[in-house]
Amino acid sequence: MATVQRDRVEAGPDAAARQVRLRQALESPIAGPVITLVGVFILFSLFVPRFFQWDAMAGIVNAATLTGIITIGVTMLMISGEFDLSVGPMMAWGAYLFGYMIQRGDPPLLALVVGLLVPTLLGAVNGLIFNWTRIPSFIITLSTQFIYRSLLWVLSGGNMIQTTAKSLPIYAFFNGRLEWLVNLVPGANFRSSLFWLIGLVIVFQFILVRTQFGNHVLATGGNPGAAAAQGVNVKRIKLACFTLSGFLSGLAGVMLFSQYGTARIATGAGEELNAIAAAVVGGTLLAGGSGSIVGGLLGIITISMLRTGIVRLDIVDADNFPAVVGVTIIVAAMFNNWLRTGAPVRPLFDGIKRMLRLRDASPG
Amino acid sequence: MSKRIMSLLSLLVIVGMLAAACGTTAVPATSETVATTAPEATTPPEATTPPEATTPPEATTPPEATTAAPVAVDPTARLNIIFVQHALCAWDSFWCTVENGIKQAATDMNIDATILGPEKFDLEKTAQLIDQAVSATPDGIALTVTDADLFRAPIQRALDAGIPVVAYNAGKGPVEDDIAYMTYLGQDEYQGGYQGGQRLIADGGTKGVCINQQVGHTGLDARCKGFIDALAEKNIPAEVLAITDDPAPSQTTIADYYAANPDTDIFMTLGPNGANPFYAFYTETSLSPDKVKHGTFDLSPEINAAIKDGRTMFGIDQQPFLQGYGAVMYLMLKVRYGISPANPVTPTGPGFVTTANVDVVEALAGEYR
Repeated sequence: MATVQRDRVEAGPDAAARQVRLRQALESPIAGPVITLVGVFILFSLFVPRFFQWDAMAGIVNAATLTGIITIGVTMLMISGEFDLSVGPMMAWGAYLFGYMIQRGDPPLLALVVGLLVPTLLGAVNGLIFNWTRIPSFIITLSTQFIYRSLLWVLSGGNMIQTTAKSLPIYAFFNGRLEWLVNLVPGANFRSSLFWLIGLVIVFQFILVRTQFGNHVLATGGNPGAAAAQGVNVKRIKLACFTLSGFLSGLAGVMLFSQYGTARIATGAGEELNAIAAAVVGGTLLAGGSGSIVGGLLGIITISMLRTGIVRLDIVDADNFPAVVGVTIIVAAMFNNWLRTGAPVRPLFDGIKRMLRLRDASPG
Repeated sequence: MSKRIMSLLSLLVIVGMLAAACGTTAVPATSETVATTAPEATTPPEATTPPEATTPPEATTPPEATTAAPVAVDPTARLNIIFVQHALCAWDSFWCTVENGIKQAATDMNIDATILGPEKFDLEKTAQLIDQAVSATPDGIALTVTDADLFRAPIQRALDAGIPVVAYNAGKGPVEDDIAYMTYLGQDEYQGGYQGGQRLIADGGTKGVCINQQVGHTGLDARCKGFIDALAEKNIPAEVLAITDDPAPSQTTIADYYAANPDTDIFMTLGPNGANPFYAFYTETSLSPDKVKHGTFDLSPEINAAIKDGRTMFGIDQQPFLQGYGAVMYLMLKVRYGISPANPVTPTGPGFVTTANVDVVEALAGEYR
């Protein structure tokens, strides 16, 4: 069921071809997220005061960047059919080691290497446990979430690190404010992490749809048995995806410390569910086999946009924000499924019809 | 080959789990001073005196609980005290100082202290940890009464089991909380917010906001209420803005709020986790002390620096070290000597750290302040 969109009919008479192309476009995993994002954007631009301006856009992007980078790995992993609930602690490991070593006086480059390497290894451990035990990845990474967090606890002695010296070039490189841009466009508080996010999304989207590896990821998630039968090394693919998720979580941690100068053991708590929510809003199937990296990015931007829109609307208590996200996830998932197959909405309507009929039929 | 790696890996997992178990407990290494005089001083097994008149008769004190009965005190007993708190040093630096106080007191007084807390702010989980502590039948339990209604039943189970209970950091005292624990050591949260609000509007103001990173935490909610009440007395409108412990979205939320309410000039944050994104917002929006006034609860390297350069008017110090140290001390006095504190609330704050005294405080920051 996975990659059917790509090898469809492409010739034919003009009208028919156009219809096929439209159908293909709507069936692409990215159609739903694009329509959702644009819809939310237009609605908010029309009805929310002070929304359609630079500082709001920058705020939306900045709030989404770190989760966005984690979402890339989580989406790739979900497409291959697996979950990673341990991204939060791996992010904390990245942030903590990077910050701790710099504070201790180690060369920033060494701190960076260690801060990225350890989370990458932790991701690989997730993959190795998965390949060897065949326990569902949900359970493995649920466990390693606790294990990784606790190990960091032990390593750090429970102490948080915070620095007030935030002027290192490496901080600016990863997550510095783009002063030249702000001087050019007042309010455009974008940060260098934005380029990282966009660059990584492009690279991994390319890897997913244009390389053999990406093809294997899709095949593995779609039907591991068939993929293996056709010579895909399913174990190696999954190991690579788990490792990637660790690496990107570590990178997000490094970026977090670069901006806020703070690393706590609990850094990134809850990030795993934010990333899964973003991937789902972004059209990735929970069961694997279908999805896109760009979709994940659109998903996290949509969620961040909702937060900004609601706070700027200034009528709802901001406490209600999680409820809005919850509704959005369900609606977006239904919408994405409907675009893809039409099926999941039909049972809903059938159900409503049945209820109405029941009410008509019943005497009271 | 792969089998060997697998067994190695499972070993690693086991070690990790062990380490995890150690991570959640903070047991000070004081075993070398264990009292050798234990035998003759042991309590008679039938401690007949019921702890309190209100206790039902069938709930007799178990033999090993030498606690509530004044007759059964044992000045030489090595004590085991469990702490249950709604936050941990691991994810909120404020708590490191509390835990330092606990550890120091445990060392000083020859006590085994175990600290329990949830992985992230989660009151239901904290309530469960109280029950977990009770089932371990320690000599005493110290806990944060973060939500009196939610914690009342589990704390009552501790009291019914004859375990003395002291509250620290979060609570309103046994009377207001309507739970019969000994005393509450901490600052009056409402007073902290109220006096902080008064200081912030000493030169007037237009609109205030209380930035709360843990809405639902009754202590933090009380701080905001005190702040809002202080401003209301001068007819200055104020409200609560909910953020999270995650700095990036929190910074955007604060910026969005300021965009929607540009006349806001009085900001109150409730700790390092709120102050951190606030300062990022402050820099990005090019604010200055003459445009907005900021006060915060608690201290951190970042907050101390901001007090010095004038961005922040004050940090409200509740002397967290005393909360941890004092909780150990009061339980020790109760169990070993039958001595109880006199007042329902034993205040440790609010104390204001400003440019006047920030240097003294900073010298001890993190460890003791």
